[in-house]
Amino acid sequence: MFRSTLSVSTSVGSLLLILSSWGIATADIIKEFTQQSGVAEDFGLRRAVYLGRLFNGVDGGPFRRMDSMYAIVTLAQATNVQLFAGDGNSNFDSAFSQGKMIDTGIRVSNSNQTDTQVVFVPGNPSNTPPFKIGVPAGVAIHDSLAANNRLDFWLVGITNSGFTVPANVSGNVANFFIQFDRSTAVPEPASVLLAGSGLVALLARRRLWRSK
Amino acid sequence: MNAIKIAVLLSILIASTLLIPGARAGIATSTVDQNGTKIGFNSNNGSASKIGTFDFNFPNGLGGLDFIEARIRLSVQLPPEAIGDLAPQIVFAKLGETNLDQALITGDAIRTDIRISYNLFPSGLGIVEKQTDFVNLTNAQNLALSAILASDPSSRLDAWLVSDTLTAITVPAFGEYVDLSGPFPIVVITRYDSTLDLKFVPEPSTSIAFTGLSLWLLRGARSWKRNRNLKFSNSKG
Repeated sequence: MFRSTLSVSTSVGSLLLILSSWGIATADIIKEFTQQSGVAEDFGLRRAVYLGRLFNGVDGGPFRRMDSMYAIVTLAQATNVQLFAGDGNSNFDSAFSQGKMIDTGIRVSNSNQTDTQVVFVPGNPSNTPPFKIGVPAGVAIHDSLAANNRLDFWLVGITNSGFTVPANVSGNVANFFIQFDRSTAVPEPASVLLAGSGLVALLARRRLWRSK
Repeated sequence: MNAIKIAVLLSILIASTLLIPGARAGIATSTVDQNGTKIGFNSNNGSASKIGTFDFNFPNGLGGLDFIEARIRLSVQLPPEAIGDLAPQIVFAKLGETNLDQALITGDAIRTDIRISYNLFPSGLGIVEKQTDFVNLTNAQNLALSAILASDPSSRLDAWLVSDTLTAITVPAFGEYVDLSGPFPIVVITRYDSTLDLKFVPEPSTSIAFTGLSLWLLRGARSWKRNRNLKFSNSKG
């Protein structure tokens, strides 16, 4: 009886250890805004508008990936425009082909196509959960920040798409804002396998104990 | 009999005098909210942005008016390449036209020589308010403009900003920006309006008709006066 109880408590302890090893991760928030550049490029493949550079001097720290994010941009006549982050403030196509530009997964559209609007993605930060960045993209964006101590942001649409990104709106500065929640947690394949095998082992042990 | 003649003559003279101010030169002005609708233009190689529906009031109608010049004020975002021949142009169209390629062929729209250039002060990568100088309208443009205005009972027309090749042009109805000067960010919204001025003069034919009529009446009056004096001096003699 004592042995069985010990076995169960050991199993539960192992499970908690495995689960908590995922949870033990430091996290922080980096956020910044600056004036939109509005400079556009269209070399026939896509139309890319440079938003600007943020997080100058910010290092990677102990973090491993960007977990989630908010974005606030001012633009007009956009439909599913992609937000990219990476290294490069000109010639998007070249930076993209060299793998320096990462698709955040965020898509920006104007709710009213006749207006130049401030668009909050995925919504107002005060009442909307942040946009979850895919793991590969989150890791790549973090790596770019860690390598360059800065991030460049672009809005990208199809070639000849007519969306516009102002630097000024009637004499007032048009800013864009980015917030990243970054963490040390990276469910690498090895960690997943370890956790999975641990769970399988635990379940097998429980089944064995019950059969006894 | 003489009294009747004088009364008729006077009434004709007064009537012609009253008609003349209706054909006097002037500037018709209309200010409206910007529309912001954007459609494809030049087989979708370019774009057309609807500036707005302008409403003109001609108390004496359009008859006998020649439109000789036009200018416009609008808020717009243009790409830097929109200069020279690439600067978008103003098109006047009948109300509700949504296919300008077709409307320009059928005469329901007319392309003017008014260009809104990126270089036109103030320039910048954003929404700026631009005001053109008065630009001449050709006779063909004048006739088409008159026909477009005449097609609407309230003398209204749609003005569009068109480009054969550029699509990244925005004529916004509203513009927003985030004001970060206070303790909390605030989204500030601006409503944009636009003003179209049309300079007009009496048609040459109308002017000639009025001048001719006036001269003819003057001549008639003089001859009548001469005859009256002659009769008066004969009866005296």
